Formats: sequence, C-alpha cells, structure tokens
Amino acid sequence: MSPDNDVIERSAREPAVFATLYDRHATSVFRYAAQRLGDTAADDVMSETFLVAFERRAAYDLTVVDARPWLLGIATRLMRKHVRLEATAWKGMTADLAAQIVPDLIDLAGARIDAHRLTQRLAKALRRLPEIDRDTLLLYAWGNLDYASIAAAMDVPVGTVRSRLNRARRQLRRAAGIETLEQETDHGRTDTAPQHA
Amino acid sequence: MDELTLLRNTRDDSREPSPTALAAGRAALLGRIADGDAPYATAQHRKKRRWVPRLTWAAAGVAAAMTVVLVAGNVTLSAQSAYASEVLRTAATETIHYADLVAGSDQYLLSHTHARWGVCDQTGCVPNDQILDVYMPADPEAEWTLYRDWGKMSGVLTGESIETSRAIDGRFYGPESSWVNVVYAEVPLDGAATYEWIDAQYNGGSASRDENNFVRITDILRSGLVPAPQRAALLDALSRIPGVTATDNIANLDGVTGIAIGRNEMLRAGERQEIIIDPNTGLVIGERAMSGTTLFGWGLSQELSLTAIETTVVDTAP
Repeated sequence: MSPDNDVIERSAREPAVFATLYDRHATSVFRYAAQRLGDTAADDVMSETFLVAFERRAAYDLTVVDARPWLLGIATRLMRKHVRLEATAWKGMTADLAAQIVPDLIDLAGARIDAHRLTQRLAKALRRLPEIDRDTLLLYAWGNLDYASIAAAMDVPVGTVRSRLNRARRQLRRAAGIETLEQETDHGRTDTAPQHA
Repeated sequence: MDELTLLRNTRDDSREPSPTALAAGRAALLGRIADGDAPYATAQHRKKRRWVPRLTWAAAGVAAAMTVVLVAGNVTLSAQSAYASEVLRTAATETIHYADLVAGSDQYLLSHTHARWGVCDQTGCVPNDQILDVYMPADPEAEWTLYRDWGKMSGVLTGESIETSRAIDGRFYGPESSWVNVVYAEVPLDGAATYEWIDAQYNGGSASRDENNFVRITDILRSGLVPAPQRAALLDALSRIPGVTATDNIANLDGVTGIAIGRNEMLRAGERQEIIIDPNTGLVIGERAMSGTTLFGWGLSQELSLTAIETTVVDTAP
C-alpha cells in the first residue's frame, strides 16, 4: 500500500488517486467531527475536509508520511464555522463526559464533592476554553493525535502544543475545584504560549 | 491518571459515518477532482452546486497524441510491441486519470455489456448474443442488480433466458462469487507494482503465464466498473506483459471504434485476445478474441468473441 505522502505526491499528476486518501481517513475525520459537533454536521465536515485537502494538496509537506494530522487540522479549522452548533453539542455531551471524569477527579481531590455541581463546572470549563486550547485539547483527546502530530495539524511548534494542553488541563482542574500545589510546568518551561496564536 | 488522559478515554471510536454519507462525500470529492485542479482561492468563491454525474474529457489532447503515436508505431511486430507497450504505459495512464464517471449517492454506475460469445457443442460453435446490465450502487451496502438476457441459452438461476437478480456486493451467483472479482482498493496504484501483484498471483492455468496474467487483468477490467486510478494501473500492467501490441480503429460489437490492446498466444495457435479502449476516455469499451492469426498477428481469420461495454450513470435499477 502506498503511504499517504506518496499518494498525495502522485495526485499532483494523477488527481483521481486522491480518492484513496478519502477511503483511508474519512471515517477518522468523521469520528473526530461527530464527537465535537454531532453526526449531521460531521457528515458535512468530513466531505468538506477532503475537498479542501484536495485543493491544498500542493502545500502538503511530502516528508510527512501520515496525512491524518493534516486532515484533522483542516477539519478543525472548518469546525470553527460551527461554534454555536458545537456549544449545543457540548451541552448534551458533557453529562456523559463528566460522568466518566468526575469519579476520578473526586479521587484526585481527595474529598467528596457534589457530583452534580462538579459536572456543571466541568462542562462550563470545557465550553469556556479558548478556541485554540479547545482545538488542541480535542485533537489530543478525540483526534487521537500525539503532541508532534497536533503541532503538524495546527502548524505550531510542539512546545506550543504542550503549553496549550497544560493550560487546558489547569482550567479543568480549576473547574473541578482541585487546588493543587503541583507545578504546572513542563520540564521547567513556563506557559508562554499566546492565547490567540 | 491525569485529566488529559481521562478526557482521552472518553474518545468514542464506535461512531461510523453512514454508508450514504460516506458515498456522498466520496462522490463530491470525485466530482471536484473531475472538475479539474482549480486553485483553492478560486474554489472558495465557487458557488456551491448540487453534484451531477459528469464525464471529463480533459485529456483529449493527450489521447489524440496517443492515437497518432500508436499508428506511427505500427512498423514491425517487434518494434510495435515494444513501442506500443511503452506508449500505452504512459499515454493510457495519463489519459485514463482524467476521465471517469461518478455515481451520486443515490445513483448507480451501470455497466452495459453486449456480448457475442460462442455456444459450443459436439457439432461446433455458434455465436450467441447476451446482454448483461450490472447496476453498482454508490452505496457499498446497497444491493446490486444484474439484468441478464442469455440469448439462446437458459439462465443458471431460474432456467429462464432473461433473469434479474439482486445481491449485496454483486454476489449474484453465490456468496463466494462477487461480480467484481477483486477488491479495488487492493489493486496497487502503480503500474509496475500492479504487474508484479498480478504475476505473483499466478498459480498455473492458461497456455502460458503471460496469457494467464493477461486474462486475469482483463477479467477485472471487463466489469466496466473499475475506478480510474486502478483502471489506469491495470492498463499499465497490461502493457508490461511481453508481446502486447496495440491496433488502431477496432470496432466493438456495437460499432464503436477504439484501440485494441492485445497479444497473440503462440501456444494457442496464435489466438489473439484484445481489450478495446476508447482513446478519448481510456474507458474499456469492449473485448475481442481472434483465432488463426499469422505469426505477425495481422492476418485475422475468425472472430471468436466480440463484446461492447458501455458505462453510464443512472438513477434507478430494474
């Protein structure tokens, strides 16, 4: 099987081979979008992602073998058109999300916290995350990308990805009411990423 | 376990796009590909429109050049063989990548085959015309339809001469027998790799290994349903089989002319098998088998079989 970068390189001369990329990654893009926006909007994002990718394929870094981070990056930017829809989807989704997170956070807090209140706080925190932090967080959590792949997807240095994830993590902990003395540093680095990079 | 890991554990990998959405997205992409390689800035301002089936003829120039070159290459058998193989390997591939039919999400790709195959018994063979209409849905989970008129023969499903059958994945004649005898996604996209892929699957049969390779490639191509990238790779692979030559202006059973790509099998008394492609589109438009050819292949004596294949997009199946 030809690797993704080979397929994209070939598609410059033979455009039809680009459909191979769709066959490989459409479901992955859909899953990521569906968890953020719901199935209906995810159908559109999935389709649009590959139309944009096809038109931008000349800009693809052919040294990168796996095209999934690139595609999820495109999907992420497309989803910014759906902020209101995502907010609605988050409201419906956070109950399930919090139900899974809350018990562990309670353990982390070392005390019994009102689960209902914690759920609400957490949902609110997730909704209120700055857009770039939320995108980074969700590429990690639901896009199943590692730090380097997120950096490629968002076209930022890996250090920025670490900073953003630390920042998002702090928000979640703060929302959960876990005041910890743990230093939120990343191997001595301080959080220097601009909020609107 | 930290918060990020917890959040990651909530990832839902069970979500799947519906087959309809998947097919619609693919059709939209293929439609855009067929539209041409427009710059993104321009495309962003392009008015959204409903996708309609289309056939792009962007490679007319390349195809015309291909025809000229093929005719010019018809000098001697050896020269023509080498030359045709090389020309076909490049020109056919280039041509075919720019022309393809795409079925919309609720449509079918229809492969209409008009075949004149012989019916033989102890007294000899007589020609028999069959019609085979295969409706392949864009939705891979939807049923395919086969309308088959067996001509003078009785159908194998009902005993009637005309049969209509429906089956998922084109398995009209049993679960182990798909109409499309290969998973297209498994066909390498590179011609050389495709040739090796075909050759590696050789397990005997036919009069020679080359003939068997040729037959197995044409078995795939004759469905008329092979997507353009794989079709191009298969044509490319075909050109790599020793002894393959090209002949211009060969008419299929319905009188449509194209370029015949074929080979003479010396171990079968010079029998020549050909697949006919439309030089303007690269689409497979028919097949032909000739018997009793001379050493140099041009003294045709008897037509063993001839077909016409036409691929279109339709909204409904019978």
